[in-house]
Amino acid sequence: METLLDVGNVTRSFGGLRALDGCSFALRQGQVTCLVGPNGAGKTTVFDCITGFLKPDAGSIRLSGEPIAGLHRRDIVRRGIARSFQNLRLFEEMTVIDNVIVCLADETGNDPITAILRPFHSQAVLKRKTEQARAILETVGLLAKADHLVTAISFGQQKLLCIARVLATDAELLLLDEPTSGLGATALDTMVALIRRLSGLGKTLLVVEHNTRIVRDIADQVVFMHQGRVLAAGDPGDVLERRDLAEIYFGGGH
Amino acid sequence: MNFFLSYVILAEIFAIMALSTNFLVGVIGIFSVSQAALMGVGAYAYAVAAMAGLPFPVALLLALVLCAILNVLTSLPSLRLAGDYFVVTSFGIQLVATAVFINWSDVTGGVSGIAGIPAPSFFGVSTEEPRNFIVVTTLALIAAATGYALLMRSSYGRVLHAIRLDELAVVAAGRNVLRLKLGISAVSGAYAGLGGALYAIFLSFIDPSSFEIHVSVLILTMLVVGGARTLSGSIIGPFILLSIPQFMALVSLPPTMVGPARSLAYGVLLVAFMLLRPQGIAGRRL
Repeated sequence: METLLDVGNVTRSFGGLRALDGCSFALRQGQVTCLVGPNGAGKTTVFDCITGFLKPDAGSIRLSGEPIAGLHRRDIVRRGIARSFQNLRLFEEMTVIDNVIVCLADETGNDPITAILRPFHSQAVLKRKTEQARAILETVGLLAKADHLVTAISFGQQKLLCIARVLATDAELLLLDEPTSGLGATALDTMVALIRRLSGLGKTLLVVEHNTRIVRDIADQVVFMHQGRVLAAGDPGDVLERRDLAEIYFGGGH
Repeated sequence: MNFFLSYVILAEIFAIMALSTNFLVGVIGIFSVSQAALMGVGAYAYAVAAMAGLPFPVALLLALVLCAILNVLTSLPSLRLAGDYFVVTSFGIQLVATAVFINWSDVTGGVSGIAGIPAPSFFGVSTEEPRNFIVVTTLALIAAATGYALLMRSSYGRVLHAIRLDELAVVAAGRNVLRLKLGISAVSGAYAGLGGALYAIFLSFIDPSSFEIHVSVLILTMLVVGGARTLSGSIIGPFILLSIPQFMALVSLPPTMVGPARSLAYGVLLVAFMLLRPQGIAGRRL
C-alpha cells in the first residue's frame, strides 16, 4: 500500500528538553494508525510538527513525497492534513452547523465584497455551504443537533463535532488527538464506529489513543513512542504484546 | 423642531460610527479606541476634497477609500499584539491623529479648522437645511445597517465570529485569518469615513476637538450601552447617549457646568452598564 505521510528523523527541542529525538514512522494510505505511549512521549509534539504548529529542528516530513515541514499551517491544511485538539477548541457561542460551516474547505463568499455587494450570491453560497455541512453532520451522526448551540449538546456530541470540523476541511489525512478520552461507554462505541467509517470512506487517520482495547479495535498499525523516539511500529497484535513496551507504558505495575 | 432634527441627524451619524466600531470591537475583538481619529480623517478628507470643488460622490468616495486603507494599516499591529496591547497602540494612533489635525495646518486649517464645507445638492435641492439633510443621513444609516446585517448573516460573518471565539481553531481549519481580519478592517474604515464625511457636511465646520480621544470613548460607550455585536445596539446606543445633553438642557445649569456634567453623565453610564449590564440594552456581552 502507498505511503501517504513519511516522518523521517524528526527532532524538536524545547530548551533543554528533547520532545522529539529522531522520530520516524510512515502512514499508509487509507489506514488507521494509533499513536501510543506514556504521557510526555511526544505524541502531541508530533501532531504539532506535522500540522505546522511547530517547526521541527531537524528531519523531514513528506506528504505523498512532497516535503511539508516548515510550511505555514494554513498551507498544510490545504494540502490535505487536518487536526483536532485534545481540548476541543469548539466555537462555543455558535451553533453546531456554524462550527462546521466555518471550517469548510470552500473559500467562496468569505470576503466583505461578496457579503455586502452581492447579497443574493452570498446567500446562495451560504445555502450551498449549509447543505455541505449538513451532509458532514449526517456522517458523524449529529444532523439532529445541527441548530443547537455547542454548549447545549453533550460532551460526547462535542467530540463528534470536532471530527465533523476536521472532515469539513476536506483533508485526506486526519490527525485526531485523543478522540475517545473522557467518553462514557455509549459515546465511546459511537466514536469507534465513526473512526471505522471514516477509514471506510478512504480517509487516512493518525489517532492518539490510550485505551489498548480500542487500539486493537481500530488500528491497522500501532506506533509506540517513548521519550521522543519510536520504539516500535507495526501490527497492533505484535506491538501491544511486547512485554518491554507494556512495562514502559504501564510503568511496570501491571 | 430644528433642535430635534439635529439630534436625529447626529444620532444617525454616530450610529454609523458605532457600526464601524462594532465590526472591530464587537465582531472580531480588536479593541480600538481610535475610531474618532478615523472619523476625523473621513471628515477632513471630504472637507478638503469638497472645498477643492470635487463633486459630492467623488469627495465621499475619497473619504471612504482613504479611511478603509488607513484602518487596514492601523489594524495591522493587532494581528501580532494580543487584545490589551492593541488598546495601547490604538490609543497612540488616536493621539498621533489629533496632533496631525492640529499641526498639518496647510491642509487641516490647524486649530481653527475648516469652515464653510459645502452641502451637496440632489436634483436641484440643497441639503443644507436639516430637514433635507436628514434624508441623506437616514439613507446612509439604512445602507450601513443593511451592509452590517448582510455581512453578519453571510458565511464571512460566521468566520469572523469564530475568529473572536478561537482564532487558533480558525487557523487550524486552513483559513487565512490575516486576510479575513484585514477585510473587515477595511469595511470598518469605510464606515468611519462615511460617518466623518456626513459629520463634516452637517456641521459645515470641523476642527480637531471634534475627533479627540473622548469622542472615541463616547462611541465605545454607545456600543456598550446599546449592546455589542448587535445591529439594534449600535443604533439604540447613539440615540440614548446623544439624548442626554438634550435632557440636560431642560435643567438650567450654569454654562460652565454643561460640558463637565455631560462627561460625568457619560462616564457614570459607561461604568453602570459595565457593572450591571455588560451585554448592553440589546443584549450581548462584549
